[in-house]
Amino acid sequence: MRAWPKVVSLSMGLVPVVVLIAMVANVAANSKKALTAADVGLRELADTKFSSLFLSGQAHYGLAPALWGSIELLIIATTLAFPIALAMAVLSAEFAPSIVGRVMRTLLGVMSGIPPIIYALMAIVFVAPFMVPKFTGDLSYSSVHPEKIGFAPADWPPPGVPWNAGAFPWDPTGGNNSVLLAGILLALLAIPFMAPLIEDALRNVPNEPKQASLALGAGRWYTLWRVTLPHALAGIVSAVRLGMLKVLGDLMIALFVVGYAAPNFPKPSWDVLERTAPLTATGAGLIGGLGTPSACRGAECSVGYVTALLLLIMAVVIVAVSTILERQFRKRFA
Amino acid sequence: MCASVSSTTRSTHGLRDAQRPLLDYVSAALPVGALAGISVVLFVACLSFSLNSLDGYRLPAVALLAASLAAITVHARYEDRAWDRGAIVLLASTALAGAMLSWLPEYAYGHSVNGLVHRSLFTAIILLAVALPSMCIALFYVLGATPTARDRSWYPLLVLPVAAAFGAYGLILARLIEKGAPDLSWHAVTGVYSSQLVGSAIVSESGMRNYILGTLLLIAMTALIALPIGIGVGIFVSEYEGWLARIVGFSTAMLRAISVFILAVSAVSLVKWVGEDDSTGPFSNLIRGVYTDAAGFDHPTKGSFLTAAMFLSLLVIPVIARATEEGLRSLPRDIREGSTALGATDGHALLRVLLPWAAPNIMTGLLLGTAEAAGSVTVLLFISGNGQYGVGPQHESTSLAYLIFDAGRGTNTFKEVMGQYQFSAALLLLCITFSLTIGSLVLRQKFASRYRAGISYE
Repeated sequence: MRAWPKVVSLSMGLVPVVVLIAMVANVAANSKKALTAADVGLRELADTKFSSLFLSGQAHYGLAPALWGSIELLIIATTLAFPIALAMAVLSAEFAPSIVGRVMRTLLGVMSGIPPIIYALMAIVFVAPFMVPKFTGDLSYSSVHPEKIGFAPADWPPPGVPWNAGAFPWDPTGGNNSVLLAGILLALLAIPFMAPLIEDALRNVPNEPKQASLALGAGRWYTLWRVTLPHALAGIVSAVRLGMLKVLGDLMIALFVVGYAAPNFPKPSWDVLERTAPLTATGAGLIGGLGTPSACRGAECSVGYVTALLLLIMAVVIVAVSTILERQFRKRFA
Repeated sequence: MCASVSSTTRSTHGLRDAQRPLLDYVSAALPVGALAGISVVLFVACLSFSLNSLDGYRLPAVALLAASLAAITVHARYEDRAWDRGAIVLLASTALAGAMLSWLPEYAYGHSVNGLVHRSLFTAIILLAVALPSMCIALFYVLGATPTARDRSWYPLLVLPVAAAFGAYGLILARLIEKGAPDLSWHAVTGVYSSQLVGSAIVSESGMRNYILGTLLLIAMTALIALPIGIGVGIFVSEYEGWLARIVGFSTAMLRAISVFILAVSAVSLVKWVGEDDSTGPFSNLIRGVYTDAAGFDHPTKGSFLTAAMFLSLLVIPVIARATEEGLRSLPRDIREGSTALGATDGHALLRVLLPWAAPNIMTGLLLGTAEAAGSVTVLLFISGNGQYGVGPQHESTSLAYLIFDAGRGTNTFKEVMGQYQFSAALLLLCITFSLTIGSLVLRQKFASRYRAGISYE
């Protein structure tokens, strides 16, 4: 009876293990159905063509555009968020007076409480019209459906049109906006989580090497680049990992801004102003958050599970690579 | 980046004012002019983000930037008898930027609207990328080219992005308050949404009461489920080291790392699996949720509050576990050994020493985690409804966050009735999550002084 703390904490500790195994097994088992289904298969999934049975009467389950959309979003959001988060951390840990640093830290702590759905909401009513036609996706669509896209900022929303016109469920054009706008908002989402972690990493650098560098006549900026940042690299990598996982897993911003699925691969493929919906949004459309759970049947549903499996694999790759990098950096600078 | 400026060349070159030749005055004015020129370029770049019509200005802007950088190079050469390598590299980059900008009209879609969009956007990005570091170099020479000046000259590179990010947050919040606050009324907060077919007409009532109560219930239930499990995981990982603890720690970290979308998919799988044979047993009712119609018949719903809270707690457990671990790791050795020396058993030490010490961390983790859970729509996406069946553990789950989603993307009838409250709902949700995050900051201080006798371990 004296060992009750161990028994209790072990039984609690087994919950995440069991749940994780169950979830991975569930996703894998359901994905297997898609690979073995008669009309899907691996070749179909690797294709670049996607169309919904519900909309166009013809089903294509190519997930390559969605995978590319996820990768694009990761790249855009990380390249935007990382320098800004780094600048914030450097400013509050090294350069600014301590009161400014404390205020920035508090503000970031509060900002981390903004849920993604609010960014998504503000994106389509505020940021997108503000930037029309700047960040609005493929405008060639507007020649086909002029009523859905390309409003001038001055008359937004146009009289008689609800502000969310064009954002129909199951509409593959969805939110009508580009990957770039989604990337900008995802960067805003990730910054409050990344910056405090980078700041902690900078503050944890021991004082001796910094002071030695300053004593040898190096300036603060030189010391930052040559001493502080290399020492903090491991912590910075883990901060970037957190930000990337946040971006990868986000559904709401992608769904509201970019839309539900990319019908095709963008041309040229690096065009960030196209609407290339990521895996999360595609999967959500396939599994059918807009219908009842029983709607999730057959091939569409199991392809939805494949998107979940791909997301899982991407998350594992990110965690593995960043863990290896972290270990390398820690070894080199410890 | 900047040239190596030796102070000796400066001092030998510096003559008394009366003896300075005219060239010296010209040279001194060069960096100031360059700074002004670069500021103009930066202004054009910022405008270019929001205007299409600046097409004609992009090449003059590049020329102005090149002239400014050339002035800096001449100034450095004249004053210090040395080439400023950074300025020369930036001059080369400016030439490259000019080449790219003159190539841009050929890009992608020629003369269509897309071409314009791409051109001015990339103009802004390219100009900013060259002009920001140029501004730092100009500032360096304006401030007198001393080592202190070099440290100070980097401030624009740090301050401008930070200001831009905080400006974006401020704009979004201000706009949200502006749009959401006018719709908040007593009726909006206390009314209950319902939509029924009476005869051939749809009779609808609007209001957010069930969504607000649902959010609060979800927060409470999530905290109740996540707290013991999270603390248990944290204690096991940090106190009982070994292969089992490593496995537990790894799976908790992975639970945090995997996409929230996978939680949503698992939730819908569970609900589907339970409802496979369409049973209405107590277990099925608990998982799928149930509502009783006017005639007294039970109907299953998309998913109960209990299911939603279970899956939301999977978001919170890793946060609490991590916080508990951190708290326990910061416990000083002497306190731990002191309690053992006084004869405390494991259980006694846990309840009287370890947990009180880790309490502030646990509370912070709990509040931050529940703030995230309250705002999460993704987990609820497949298992929530519009809340017209009431609020309770067995009722159909709903929350303010789901209302925001549903009022934008739901059925047309729902959008007509509740679309007006989308921004008020966002504002209320923001109030809830902000009070949780601010509470975590405040509580941390309070608990620290109570349980640790004000000992700071940092």
